[in-house]
Amino acid sequence: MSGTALRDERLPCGARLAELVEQATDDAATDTAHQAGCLQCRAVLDRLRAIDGLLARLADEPVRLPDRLVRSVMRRVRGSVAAGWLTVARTGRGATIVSGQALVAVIEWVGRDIPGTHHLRATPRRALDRRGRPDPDAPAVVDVDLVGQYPEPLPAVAAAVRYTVRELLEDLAGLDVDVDVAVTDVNARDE
Amino acid sequence: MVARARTGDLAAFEILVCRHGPAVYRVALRLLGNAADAEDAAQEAFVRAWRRLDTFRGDAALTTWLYRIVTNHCLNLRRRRPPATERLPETAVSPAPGPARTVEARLELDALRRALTRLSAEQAAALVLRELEGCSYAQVADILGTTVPAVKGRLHRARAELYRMMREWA
Repeated sequence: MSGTALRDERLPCGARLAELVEQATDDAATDTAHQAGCLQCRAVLDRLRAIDGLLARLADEPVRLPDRLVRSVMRRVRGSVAAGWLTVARTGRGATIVSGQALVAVIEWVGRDIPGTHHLRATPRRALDRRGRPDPDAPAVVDVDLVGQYPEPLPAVAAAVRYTVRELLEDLAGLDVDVDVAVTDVNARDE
Repeated sequence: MVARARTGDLAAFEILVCRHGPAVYRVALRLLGNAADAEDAAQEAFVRAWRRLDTFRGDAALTTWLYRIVTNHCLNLRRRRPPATERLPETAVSPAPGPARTVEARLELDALRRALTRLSAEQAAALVLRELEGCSYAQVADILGTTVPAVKGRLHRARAELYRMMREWA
């Protein structure tokens, strides 16, 4: 969208845009004699100053933190703590373990390509034992939160995600997991 | 609080998220241009912060460190998914009925919001951190891993680019 380089762009009157930008942001600078009489320069300077005014207004605009944010962050953090390490193989000569985080990365990477998912998050966790602590012997569960892409039917998308994630973890790590899918939102914009 | 969070204290980390959530979310919102992507990026930034708390060196302010994590993440998203030439309006754009001046003022701000998402990622990041978040030049340079003169150059080019994008509306 930028045809000419900034340093080369000139107004029809010959003034350089780069210099006007410099001047508009420097409160101490005073307009030159040429600019005082040049309508083009005046217009550009006014516009540049108007943009700075807009930036100041945008900076002052209150932004409301989505209510869900803190909760969803803590949910994922708790999930990563609970998932910790998953044992994928136990042999007579030692065990192989994989971190929950490693699996998250792969699931999200693969999950992006499943049709109908606009966005996808995975959180592995252990089923909890009776005292509410992660049970190392219980099967792993992967919670998948996704944003669907309109108009793909959500049950079919969820089923495709469950199938794909189960296959992936079976192939990759020999893990047999349950996959709980939550559709948190649907995106209706064209992508 | 950071020290407690580093030992795995979830309650302490939750306090940090509450305290710094607004700043992290604001940066993501300005860089990505819509609430859904911003919420997701802010969430991701905090989860990464949690995983990397042990790499946080006390000599950097926590805000600077969090700004760096969320900015890097948003820049990567923007590079991976270059903004469509013209995205559909990010927020409900239908201006509430009101005096014409108010409507016009909102449309101008909307135009600026859109323009921010169309600037180059590096320019947008410098502008958002400096002009919207009020960071010092040195802090912006630190966050973006560059020098103060480079930051000033980016800000300069960002302004010229905003002017080019927004000169049509008058």
